[in-house]
Amino acid sequence: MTAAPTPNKDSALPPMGETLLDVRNLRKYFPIRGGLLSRVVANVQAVNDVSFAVKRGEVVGLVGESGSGKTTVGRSILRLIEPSGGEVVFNGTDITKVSKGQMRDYRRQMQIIFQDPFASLNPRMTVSDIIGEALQIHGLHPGRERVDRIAELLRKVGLNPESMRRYPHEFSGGQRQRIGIARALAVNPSFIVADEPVSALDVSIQAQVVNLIQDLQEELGLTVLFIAHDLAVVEYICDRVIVMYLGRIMEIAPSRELYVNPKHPYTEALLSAAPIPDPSIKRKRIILEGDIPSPINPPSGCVFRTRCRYAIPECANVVPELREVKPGHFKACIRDDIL
Amino acid sequence: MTAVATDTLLAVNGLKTYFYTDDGVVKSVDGVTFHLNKGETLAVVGESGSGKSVTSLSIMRLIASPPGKIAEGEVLFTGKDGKTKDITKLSEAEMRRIRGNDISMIFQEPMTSLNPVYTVGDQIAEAIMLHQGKNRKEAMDMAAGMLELVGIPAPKKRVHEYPHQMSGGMRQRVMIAMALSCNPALLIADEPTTALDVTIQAQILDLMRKLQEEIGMSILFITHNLGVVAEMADRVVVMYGGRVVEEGDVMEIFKAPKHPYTIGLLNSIPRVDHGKAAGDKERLEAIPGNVPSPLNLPPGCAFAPRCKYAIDDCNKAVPALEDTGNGHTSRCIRWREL
Repeated sequence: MTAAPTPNKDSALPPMGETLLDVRNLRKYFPIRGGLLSRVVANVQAVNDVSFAVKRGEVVGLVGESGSGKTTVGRSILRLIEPSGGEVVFNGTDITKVSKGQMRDYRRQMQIIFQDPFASLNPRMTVSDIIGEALQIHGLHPGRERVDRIAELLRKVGLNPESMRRYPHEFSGGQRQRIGIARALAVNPSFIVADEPVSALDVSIQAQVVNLIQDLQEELGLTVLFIAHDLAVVEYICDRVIVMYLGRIMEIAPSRELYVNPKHPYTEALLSAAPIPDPSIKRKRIILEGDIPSPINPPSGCVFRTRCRYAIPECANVVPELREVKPGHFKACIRDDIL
Repeated sequence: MTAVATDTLLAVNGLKTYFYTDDGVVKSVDGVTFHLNKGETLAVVGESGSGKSVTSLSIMRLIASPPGKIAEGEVLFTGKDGKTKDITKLSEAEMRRIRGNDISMIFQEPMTSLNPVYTVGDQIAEAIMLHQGKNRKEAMDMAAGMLELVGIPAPKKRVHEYPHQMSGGMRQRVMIAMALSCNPALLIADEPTTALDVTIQAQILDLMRKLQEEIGMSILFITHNLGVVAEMADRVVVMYGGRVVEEGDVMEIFKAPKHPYTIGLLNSIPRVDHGKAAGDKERLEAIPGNVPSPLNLPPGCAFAPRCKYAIDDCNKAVPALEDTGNGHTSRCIRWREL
């Protein structure tokens, strides 16, 4: 595999397999204001003390249900929302500390693909304008070269270059998601956050887009943070998977290992809840009781303990640390006598 | 009217539901035939534009007219009174007596299908008062009983709460309570778990199975999720481009599918339990191309442009639904070779 050309010469990327992104103790609280003076009365603790690293060329899955904080993590990393605390070290620099202007240079290396292919493309811009906008902002491929670059990108994502003069409404959901991918790739980024890129697509189209992302990742040597709620999709595309619940990391493991050998009770329940398309398999399913608690007032200690079938009184006392239980396999659970 | 077997609850025969738009006639449902037996769960599977939701709305006579219209066909339904009627021919007043009483429906979006300005108790009690002639007090007590049945904690208290005070999973439970409050013979569930998280989906599917055992209603389960189908259905109808392309027993459909679209769909779903080795990157088998626009369906088999088995003959005429044995049917001229 050839290394992707570095867009920014003064900050050469680390070699393949070395840490490219290091998220340390990331925290994002959204304040709730109330009363006459609109003082902060409470906080939505969307992300709490999240730490993980992504190596260059790696595809890491970030999985969780609604309210787990996975999207907030993805957006905080790109500073599309400002983190409340912690560090996001990209290629050796803590980008939470850089100025807005400098951040623009970093965004050339860090791009995002959004979930909703209908809402994320401006309906009044042609495909060529949508993809060309980033090139223009970053002063890349000026003049005649820009059209060639856009045509090349469209070919890369499996669309006809002639479609660059058309508008988003002329495309189906799957094709729009391809346009969104072409836009993200336009500035030749090294790192991509894919935020539920296939969740809104039909099953037969979903597989096409998963395969496309996989091909592009290999061809361009991209580093990808793949955010999803669908465990099965993540398993196909990711090297490692991070499982989140109520703003915290529950488990990190190489993908196959996580599915065969989950070590955290939440992961176990999540896997058990996923319906398997085979009527001859009759599993005894773990049904989690109740709903995810409010992130305004999360449970003390382990946030999952209120729905955990293995919970003991001690679980309420301390927030369990993420511990390595097997090489490369981490869990935030105090009990070693289960699973 | 076609004769109906005694254990058949619902028989849809040659149903055609068209929408007359400025851009032309959209044949959303174009000659759909299937039946549902008493106590059975039939899954109707398809992607966007397959016509699965329009089929279910046609059965409930909830197609907005204009632009929509049931252009042809019959929907024979045997009500709680034991009489078989053709739903497409009923007056609006007769239909109102059936809806919520004989046939109920739950929708994908529990957020938007509940009225935000009434308590959940009022909304459940409304149907009970209307169809069972109870007074408000009795109906509210029954509403609380229904909430208890669907597993909502503290039902006597929560019956006075508003939808916004509940989570998505709770709201879907309320929808189910409302749908089952008059003991319907048929429950139509249109993507009831699609908007829910996977652990909440497991709760709701579990609840639906339990209630079916207790109450014995038939379920018409509309979904795009084959995992859910495998778990819930006795029989399966696969739709594509407004037509049924395959129908059969759930085991047959998953183990020996007889239509290329069903085969493609089964191959394209990622599953958590497949046996790939560590470090292996496997590829999903995608179906090429796009779901066809219902305004512009191909002349022959609607799936032919995306089908790897397609031959010239496939584009000539719409294939007939052929019997492949064991009550299994396929709309493919090459089903024997698959």
